[in-house]
Amino acid sequence: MKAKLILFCLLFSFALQAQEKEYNLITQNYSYGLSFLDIADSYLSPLRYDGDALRFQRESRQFFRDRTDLSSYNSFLLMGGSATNPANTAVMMLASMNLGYGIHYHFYLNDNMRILAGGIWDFDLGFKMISRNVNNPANLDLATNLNLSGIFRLLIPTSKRTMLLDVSIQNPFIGCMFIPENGATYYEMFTIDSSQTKMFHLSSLHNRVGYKAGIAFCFPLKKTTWRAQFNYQNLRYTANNAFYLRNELSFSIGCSYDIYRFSGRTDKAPENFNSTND
Amino acid sequence: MKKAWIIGLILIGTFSSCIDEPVPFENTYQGNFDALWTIIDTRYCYLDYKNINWDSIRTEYNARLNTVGNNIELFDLMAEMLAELKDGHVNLTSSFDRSRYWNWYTDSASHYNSSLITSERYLSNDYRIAGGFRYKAIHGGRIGYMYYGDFSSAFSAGNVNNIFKLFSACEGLIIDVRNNGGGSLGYSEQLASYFFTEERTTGYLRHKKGDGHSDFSDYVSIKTPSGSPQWDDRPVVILTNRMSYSATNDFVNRMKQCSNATIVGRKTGGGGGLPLSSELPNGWTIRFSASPMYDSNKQHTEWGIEPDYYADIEALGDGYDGIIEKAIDLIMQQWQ
Repeated sequence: MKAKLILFCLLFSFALQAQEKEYNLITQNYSYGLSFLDIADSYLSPLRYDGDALRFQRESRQFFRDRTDLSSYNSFLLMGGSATNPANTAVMMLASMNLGYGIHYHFYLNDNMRILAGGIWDFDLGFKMISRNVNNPANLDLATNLNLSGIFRLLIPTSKRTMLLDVSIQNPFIGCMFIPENGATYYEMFTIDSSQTKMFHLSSLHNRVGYKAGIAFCFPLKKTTWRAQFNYQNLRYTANNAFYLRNELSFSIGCSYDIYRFSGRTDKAPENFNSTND
Repeated sequence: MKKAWIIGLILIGTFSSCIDEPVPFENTYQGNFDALWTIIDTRYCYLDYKNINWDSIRTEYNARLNTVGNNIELFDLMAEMLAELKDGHVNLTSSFDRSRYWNWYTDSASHYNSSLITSERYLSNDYRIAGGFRYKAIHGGRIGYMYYGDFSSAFSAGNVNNIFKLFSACEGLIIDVRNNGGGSLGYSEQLASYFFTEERTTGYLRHKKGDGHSDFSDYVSIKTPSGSPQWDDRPVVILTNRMSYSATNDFVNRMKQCSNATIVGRKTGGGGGLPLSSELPNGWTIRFSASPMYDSNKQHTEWGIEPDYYADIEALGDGYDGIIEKAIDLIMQQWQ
């Protein structure tokens, strides 16, 4: 009897451990969109260029281990498009990539409202090109910034589903950016000698100001959670007496997934998960 | 936390006012004229060197603006104003015309005749073509001759290696860059490199750092590397005329530093300013000299480079290119 009681307690304790294991899911958002651009790049032209671009973005967010109030965030954005000058006599081709990594603290206001606050460090790489220009046909966009980031999140439960509304804002705070002198050619900077050209500049609120604001709405259907997003970016920056501006209004649509990665020896998938590796 | 966000937003609002967008020029006759004048005033690099009073030029041409009745007349007025700069690197381009200043060669005799180059005495019709070069051993096979008409024409080290091999028994080499209006500085450096046994500073460059007419950076050394294949110490003669311009001018400047090279012909056309582009509110493009290039003594090359020997194409009469013949004489004298 005593042996049976001990065996029962052991079995019960194992069962309890299995029930207590929690999984920190990775929430991944994939979206494709269209942007409307307003660009100024005084190295290439004194005029503002208007155009559009296509964009693809992947974001993911995951709580840190054993935390439900601190999450990591990373993002990848690709964009490419074209813009024209007001007289429609020149075309600016442009492409860019942005990588971001951030951490947010989650404040739970109530069951359905959260505020996420933190920072995102991002890296921008891109180029703009006006092919009819001589010796200054292209300019590099290169910058890295620490951005302040805040998100207001509202969960909207209904009888059938819980929808999600995110209102976000990011502001560049400090970083470094590449801005050539308007009188220097890339031939001089990268072929001859760059010692007489100040190219890299500390960026902060005195010379790089703007914000990225977004509204995203997630709507779960049967097996897919759809995500629609509006973003607006207003960014202006200056160095070397040069002025740069980027206004972007974009609309994206995509999907949101919650996934978990099982891998290795200690984080194997439970037996009722079927893997093609088995 | 809330206070930190409010303070942050206030800071951002405050500092955003420090970044003012330049006030754009209007797309009117006056606005486009002012834009053009300002671009040249703040970014053209030769106003002081050429002693050009750009302010008085503005006064003179602005006074005529009220006579302009259409875009063509506006273009012509602006083109006339730009001609005051006397610079072949300055062009205003619209959808219907491109302004240019060509007096630097139209005011001089050409000293080049393409029909003569391809006559029996020189290239004939059995010359070879490699990259942008037309070449053949002339003067009884004793002198290698290569014509390069455009520094935008690509060539490879392999092309030049084959040319040098064909000329391996020649007593010297003639590189004819007459009527070569320029192109890529990269090709100028590359071609010159085949004649330098070691890297050498052959010129300098500065760029504008501010809006003032003489706001320049310090001098940046332009080096000519030692390239492969290498021409040996046999004499090399470069042929030039007034249409040897821009990148050709740069090539001639580099070869002036080459110990076994001689420049023969006429003074080059110059074009020592590295051009950049901008545009006007109406979408017209303006190309202008922005970075002055200098020789190894930090002297401007804008007005051209004097040859070591002046020669006249007509010196020896019909059927002879007097400049090529002078080059042949120099090579044969050095060989003897």
